[in-house]
Amino acid sequence: MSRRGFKKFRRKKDTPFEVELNSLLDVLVILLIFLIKNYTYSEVELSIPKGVRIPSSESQTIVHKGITIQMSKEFHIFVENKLIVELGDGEWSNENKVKLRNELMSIRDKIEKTTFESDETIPFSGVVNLIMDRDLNFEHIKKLMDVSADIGFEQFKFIVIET
Amino acid sequence: MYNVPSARRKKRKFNPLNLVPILDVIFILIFFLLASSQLMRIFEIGSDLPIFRLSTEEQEKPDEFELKIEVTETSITLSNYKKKKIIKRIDVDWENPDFYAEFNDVIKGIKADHPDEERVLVSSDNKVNYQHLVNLLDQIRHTRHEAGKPGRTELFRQIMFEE
Repeated sequence: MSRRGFKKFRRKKDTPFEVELNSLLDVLVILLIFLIKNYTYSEVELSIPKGVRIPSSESQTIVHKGITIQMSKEFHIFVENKLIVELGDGEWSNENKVKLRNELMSIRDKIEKTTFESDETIPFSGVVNLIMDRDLNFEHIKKLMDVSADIGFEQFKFIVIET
Repeated sequence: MYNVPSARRKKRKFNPLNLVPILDVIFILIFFLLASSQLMRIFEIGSDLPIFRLSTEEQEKPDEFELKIEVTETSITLSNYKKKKIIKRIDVDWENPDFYAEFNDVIKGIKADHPDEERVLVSSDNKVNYQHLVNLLDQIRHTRHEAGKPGRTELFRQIMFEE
């Protein structure tokens, strides 16, 4: 074979494969800006029970620490994610009020005991975060406020979602 | 034999910017933001002590004005609680945005007359829907978003519920 023929089949020099990172970086920067813009810091992690649609609001106040009372449309009442009372037909019986009161009282005792043992100077705040379904009536809010206030939880925060 | 150096400049090799460390940092930031931010933006609407829990010192205010808002399913009545004088009565149309605008205008007018007043007493009918009540609280707390105007002005930030 002539010299010319060899030249034809000579392998090309391998160039290292390079991933084009610029476009990936563009996407990531956009994603980062979006996440930073929508980032809200809250010291509290709230869990909303399944099926509960909390009301929407224009409020921009960050949620503060406190105990959570949740109430679903089916009149199930949870305290700190634990089901305490089921109001069958939405009627507040004395028995149900007592159950709720006892639970709140045990939570209050626990908070006070922890504060005492840890020598913290922060007094008991009495903050209640109310996570309630938007379709409920004011009657239930009032009843919950009343029972909580009896135990010393007197600062009510209505938990809402951004409009 | 000595070769005379060519006058032609050697082609300078272009070194691309190393994007990999930047990419690493951005990835870590994105993971951190995704893990720590809330997907739903949750806020709170604060409500202070109900009026029946207030100490006598707080109740005794030298001012002769205390705004009271009575909410029923059909109307809203704004009055001066101290003087038992009705300021305005508005018919309710919960689904109409103009109703909220009108209500907000009334609140703005009252705030303009009493700029130092921050407290409002809300008395609601048991049957009033929670979402509707939250919509009203939004109008009581802040002015509405207006096109071309930045931010909102605070109106009555201290909300109390009457027993």
